[in-house]
Amino acid sequence: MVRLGQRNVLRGLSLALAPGERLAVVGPNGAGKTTLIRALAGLIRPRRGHVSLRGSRGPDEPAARAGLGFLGHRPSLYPHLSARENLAFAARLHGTTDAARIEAALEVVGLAADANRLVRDYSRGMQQRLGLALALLPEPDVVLLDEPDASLDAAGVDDLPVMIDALAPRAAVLFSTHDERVAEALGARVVRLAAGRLTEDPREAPAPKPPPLQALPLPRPPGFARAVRAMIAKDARVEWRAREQVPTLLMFTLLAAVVFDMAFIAALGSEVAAVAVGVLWISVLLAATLAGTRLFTTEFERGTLDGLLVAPVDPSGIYLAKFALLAIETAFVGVAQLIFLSLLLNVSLFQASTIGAVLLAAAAISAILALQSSLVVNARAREMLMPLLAIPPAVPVLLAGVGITLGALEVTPAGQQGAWFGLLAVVAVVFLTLGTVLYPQAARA
Amino acid sequence: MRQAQTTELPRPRRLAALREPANAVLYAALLLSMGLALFMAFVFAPAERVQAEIYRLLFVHVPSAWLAFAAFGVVAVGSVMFLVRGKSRWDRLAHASAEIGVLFTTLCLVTGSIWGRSVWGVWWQWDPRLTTTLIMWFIYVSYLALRSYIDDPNARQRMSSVVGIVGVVSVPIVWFSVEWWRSLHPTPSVTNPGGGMPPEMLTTLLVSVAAFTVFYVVLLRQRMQLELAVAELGSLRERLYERNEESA
Amino acid sequence: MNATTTTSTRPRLPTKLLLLAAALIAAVGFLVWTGTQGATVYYHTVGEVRGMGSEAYYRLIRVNGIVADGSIQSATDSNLISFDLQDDSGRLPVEYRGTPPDLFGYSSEDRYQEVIVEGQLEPSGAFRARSLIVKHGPEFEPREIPAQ
Repeated sequence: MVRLGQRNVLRGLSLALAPGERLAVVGPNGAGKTTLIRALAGLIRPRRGHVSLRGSRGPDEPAARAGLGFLGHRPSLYPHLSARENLAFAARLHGTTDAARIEAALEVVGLAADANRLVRDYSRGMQQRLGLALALLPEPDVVLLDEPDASLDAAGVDDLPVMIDALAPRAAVLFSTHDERVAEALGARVVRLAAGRLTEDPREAPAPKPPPLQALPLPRPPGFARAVRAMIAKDARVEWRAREQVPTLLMFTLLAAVVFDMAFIAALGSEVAAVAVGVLWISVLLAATLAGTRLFTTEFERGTLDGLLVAPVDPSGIYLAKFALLAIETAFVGVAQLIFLSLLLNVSLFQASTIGAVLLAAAAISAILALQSSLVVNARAREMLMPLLAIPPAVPVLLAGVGITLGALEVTPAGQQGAWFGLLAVVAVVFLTLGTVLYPQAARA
Repeated sequence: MRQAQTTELPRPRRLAALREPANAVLYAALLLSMGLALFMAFVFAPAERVQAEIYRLLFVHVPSAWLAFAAFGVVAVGSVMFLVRGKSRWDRLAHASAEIGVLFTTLCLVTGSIWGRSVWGVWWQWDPRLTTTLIMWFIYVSYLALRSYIDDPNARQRMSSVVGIVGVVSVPIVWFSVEWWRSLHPTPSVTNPGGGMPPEMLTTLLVSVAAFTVFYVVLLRQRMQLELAVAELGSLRERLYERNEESA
Repeated sequence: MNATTTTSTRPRLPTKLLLLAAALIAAVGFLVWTGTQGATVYYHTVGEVRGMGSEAYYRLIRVNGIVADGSIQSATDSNLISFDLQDDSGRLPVEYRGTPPDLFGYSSEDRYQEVIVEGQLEPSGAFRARSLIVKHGPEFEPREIPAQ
C-alpha cells in the first residue's frame, strides 16, 4: 500500500518481473503509475509491502540500486550542464568513468551532434532522449521508465526499442505509458492499473510464472568518497555556469559592510571594532541561511534530487556533498567580509585567528544548515521557515565566532581562543554526525 | 443516492476511544491533584524567610520545567520510533508532546521572569540557564512551525522527526547548565545537597509535580485523540471519495 | 524484480548510531571542560577582576561576590549606593546609581548576601555598576512567626 497525502494511491498490488522481461503498466492519468514506479525505485516508502530487486534487497539499500536504471516523469537533468556532462556525472555516481559508453549512449539516442550544448537549450523531446540515455547508461539489469514516450516525436517512439536493445539488452524493463502502441512496439507484457489496483490484460497470455527468486550478483557500487566528490564538483560547475549564489552573496556582504559603515560612522568611537564584529557574524549567518535554503531546494525544483537518490550511493553522501558546497561558499563570503570590513571600518580583522574562526564557523553553520535545508524541500514558504529553524542551533557558533574575533581585536582579553575554537569544532562534528545519520531518514518520503 | 452512500460508510471505530472510561478517571485525578496542589501551595506551605510570598512561584516554575524536559524527551522517543517503525501514532505522540512541552517551557520562562524581577531585580539576564532555556524554546517552536509549513503528511512526519531528534540535544544542556557554568540561576534545591527546603515546601513541590504530570498526561491524550480524529476524518473523506469514484 | 505486499521493511542504522553517540559524548565532555576554562563565564570573581589588571578597565563585565558586612552606604541626597564586594580573593568597592532590588541589603545574622554587579572597573579601583542583581541560592527556609 502506498499512501500519498490522505489518499491510498496503490493498494493490494503484486508484480514480479523476470530477468530480460518487459512489462508495460498501462493506465489513465491518476491511476498511480508514477507512484508505482517511484515506490519501485525506492523514492517512496510503501506503508505496507516491500520491493525487492534481484530477489534479494530492497531499493532503499544503496548497493541494490547499483544496476538500477531510472527515468522519472521528469528527467533528472542539470540545465547548466551539457548533455555529455550530465551523462558523465551520472556515470561517476554509478562508479564508472567509461567515456566510450557515454559516447555510445549519446549516439544511440541521437544526441551525438548536440552533446556539448547545455541542456537548458534542449527541446523537451531532446531532454527526454537524454533522460533515456541517463537511465540506460549504467548497464542496468533493472530499468524503470515513467512514460518513456512522453514528449517524444513519432520517430523517437519508434527508436525506443532500439535504444533499449542497444544499451540494456538483457535488462528487465518496467515502464508506464498510457499508449498501448508503445507497449506493443516494445514487445512488452501489459498490465493495467486503474485507481491504484492492478488488472492483467485478459487478451494477453497469462503471466509467465516468475522464476524462483534467486539473488543475482550485484554490480560493484561506486566508492562513497568518489561519489561525494563527483557531487561537489557537479555543484561547483553548475554554480560556475549559473552564478546564482556566490556573486549575489558577495554583493550582499559588501552591502552590509557599506550600509553599516555609512549609517554608523557618526556614532562609532571606540565601538567600531564591536560593530565590525557584529556585522561580520550577522552577515555570515544570513549569507549561509540564504545559500543554505537553496541547497536542496534547487535539486528538488529541478527534479534532479530523484536522480541523486536513485544513484547507488548512501544518501548521507548527498548531505555531505551539500555540506561541503555550503561550507566553501560560506567561508568564501566570510573571508571576503573580513577584507571588506578591514578596509571600510579600518579595523585589523584580517588575521590568522579570525580567518580560522570564519573557516571553522562556516563548517559548523553549514553542517547545521545542510540538514535543515533537506527538511524544508516540501515545505511552503521555505525561505521564511529556514531562519527560524537554523538560527537557534547556530547560537553557539555565533557566540564562539564573536568571542574569537572580539579577542583578536582586543575588545575583550585574548587568550580564551582555544575554548571557542573547540566549541566551533564540537558543533561541526555533532551536526555532521547528526546529518549523516538523520538525512537518509528524511530523504525518502 | 449520494445520501445512501454516505450513511453506508462504516463507523469510525477508533474514535470511540474518545469516550473511554480512562478519560473520566484522568479528569478526576487532575481535578483532585490540582486542587490539592493549589491548597498546599497557597495555604499549607509557609512563607519563605527572605522571599516571603513570591517564592510560591516555585510550585509552578519547577514542575513546568521538569515536565517540559520530560515532554521533549517524549518527542525524541516518538520521533525515533516513528523513523524506525513508520507508524503514525508515534508521530502523533511526538507532535502532541512538543506542543505541551512548548506550553510548559513558556510557563517556566514567564514565571521565572516574574520571580527574577522580584528576587534578582531584573526581568532577564543572559545567564547560561536562561539562555539555553530560551534556545530550547525556539528549537521546539521551530519544530511546530516546520510541521505547519509541510502539507504532505508523509513528509511532515519524517522531516519533523529529524528536528525532534536533533532538538533533544538541548535538554541535557539546559538541565546541566547550572552545574557546568557559572550562573545566576540557582542549582536544583531538591537533588542538590547544597540546597534544601523544609518538609512542608518539599511535600508541596512533590504534590505540584504530581499534579502537573497528570495535567501533562491529560493534555497529551486529548491532543493525540484530536489528531486521531483529524486522521480519521481524512480517511473517511478518502473512502467517500473512492465510493463516489467507483459509482461514477 | 519482485513486488509483493507483506510486512513493512525496517531501516537499519547500527554503526551510525554508535558514531552519533560518540560525537554527543565528546560534545558533552567538551562543554563540561570549557565550563571550567573561564572562556564562557557569565560572571567573574573579585580575584579574577583584580588579576586582569588594566585589561579590565572600561570593559563591561559582571562580578560576583558577597556584600561585605556593614559596608553599604547610601547617599541621602541622591540614589547613589556604595558597598564593598568581597570574596576569598579580596574586596572591590562598588558604586551603583539607581533603585536597588527589594531584597538588596536584607540582613540576617547567619546569612551573607551574594550579588552580581554589571558595569565597568575604573582605574581608580572603583567598580561603577550599571546594574545590581541579587543572587539567591537554592535554599529555602520557612519564615519564623514572631512570638506574640
